[in-house]
Amino acid sequence: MARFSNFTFDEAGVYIRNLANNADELGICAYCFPDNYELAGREFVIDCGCCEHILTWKAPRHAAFDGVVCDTYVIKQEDDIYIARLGAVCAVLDLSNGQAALVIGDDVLPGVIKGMGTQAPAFAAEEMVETNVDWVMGVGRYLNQHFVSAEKLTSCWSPNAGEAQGSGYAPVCPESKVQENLYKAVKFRDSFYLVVQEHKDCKEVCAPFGTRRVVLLEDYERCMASGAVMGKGFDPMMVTGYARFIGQSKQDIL
Amino acid sequence: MNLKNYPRKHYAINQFCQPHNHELKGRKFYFSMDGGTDYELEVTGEKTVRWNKVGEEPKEAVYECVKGDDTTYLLDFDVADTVMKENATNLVFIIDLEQRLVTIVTCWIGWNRKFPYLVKSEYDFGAIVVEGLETPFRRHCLTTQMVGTRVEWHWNYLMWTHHNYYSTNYYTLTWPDESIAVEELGGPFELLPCHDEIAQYVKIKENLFAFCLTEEMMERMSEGRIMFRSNNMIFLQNYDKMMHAGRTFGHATTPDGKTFACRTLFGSFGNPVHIPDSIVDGDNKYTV
Repeated sequence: MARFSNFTFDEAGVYIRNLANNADELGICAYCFPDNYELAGREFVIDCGCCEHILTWKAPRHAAFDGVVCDTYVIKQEDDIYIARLGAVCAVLDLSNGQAALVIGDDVLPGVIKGMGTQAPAFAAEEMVETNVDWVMGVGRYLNQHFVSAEKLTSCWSPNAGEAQGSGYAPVCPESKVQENLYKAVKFRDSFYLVVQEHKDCKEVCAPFGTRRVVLLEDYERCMASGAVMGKGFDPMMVTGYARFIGQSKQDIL
Repeated sequence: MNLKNYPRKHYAINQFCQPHNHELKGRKFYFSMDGGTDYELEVTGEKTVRWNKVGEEPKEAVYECVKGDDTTYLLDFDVADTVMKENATNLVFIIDLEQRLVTIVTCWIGWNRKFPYLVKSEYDFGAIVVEGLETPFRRHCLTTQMVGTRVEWHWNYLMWTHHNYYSTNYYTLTWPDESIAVEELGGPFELLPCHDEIAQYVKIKENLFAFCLTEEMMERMSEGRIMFRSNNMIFLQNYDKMMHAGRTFGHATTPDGKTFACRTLFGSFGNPVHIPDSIVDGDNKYTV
């Protein structure tokens, strides 16, 4: 048998199908967890202090935000903690503690779920400083976030094309693609951080050109993150990724 | 704080696992099975089901559930009156709401006198009967379509392994040096003649498969001298998303010789991989 890269052919030159070779069609949405319907039939009133908002899931895939019907996608990140998109709004719901946070435009609004909680989650960006992590969201597709201060991070998407083999990584992003962006972080439970980072236009990377905002619920216990990539000229994209810490090796825990 | 150093637990294959899903709560199913024994299943709570073979009394069980895509579920439970017994039995229902089809896998131990922990698996295909709708005649099916697929699966942030699906009856497991699989799995596997194991491949729908492996050679060759005993792992593998979720059923042995049930949900994220020719072309030493 002859081989080129990951493609295998028999002696007559006929390609032997490898299902893994079809796997990068969904780009950064590839690893996104399935839509979760556990919230169907439920309604939550979120008290953000300054305002109240009503989140309603009438049925699977049918939601309303403040009474306005919108499309929705819900990812269950861990027992009783969800990140959801309702139209252009993102929401994190921690049903165990009755805590929530809404991302509405540029605003990040921590709040409590009325009737379930008493204390809103806190901003906690200072706890993330020095963290340098790639979130691998698809085959050879990842977002690097390096939290350099409590206000700013440097971030970089992997190039749009690359050899997606070995340990699942495309080549490292060139320096010219690295952006410095503002971010906010809200802490849920012990290991969950809702990170909302701003984003500027960036060509030839695996995220859409018009990306303006990345909203990720990052769990540093299980080392996974889920959320949405939003911007101009494309529908919001739901994503899930796993962590690869920069500078890590298995020697760290052996 | 660099959250790389977050004081997290030690994980093996369960770090990148989806959380348990309970959205089927309140649903009742009637499964018409080709094997001749139909099943009824009622998801009574977030963790409880009531089930029975048609004609038998209903039984309660504690279930776990993960999704392969938006409408395909892997739901499994241990049969309550067999838990921690020599005939321990686990039932897996792959419930496909899109096509109204179901695959039931029954796994149990205690059938082999020489190897009491060896897991045996039986597969039955059927349809979900819905009043007012014609019952489908198509079925999930054993398939050859995965043969030729080679994947790198990332199980936790330090462990990834390579799967080579080269036969409809076997697969090969290996890993690169950079993966902590060398330390986590390596020792026991190095005692074996080769890294091949028994496998079955079931097609659920286009690009969604149930990959079912049983660590049978591990049990036959080691006879309990190493930690891992016979385990059955059923993966719902989604090749549109290059991810899978599944469950294990089997046993392991502690260094002081105590055997315990080895049960967990698992999940991982995949990517294509070039597996060295020496492995791809290597002999399966268990076959003639």
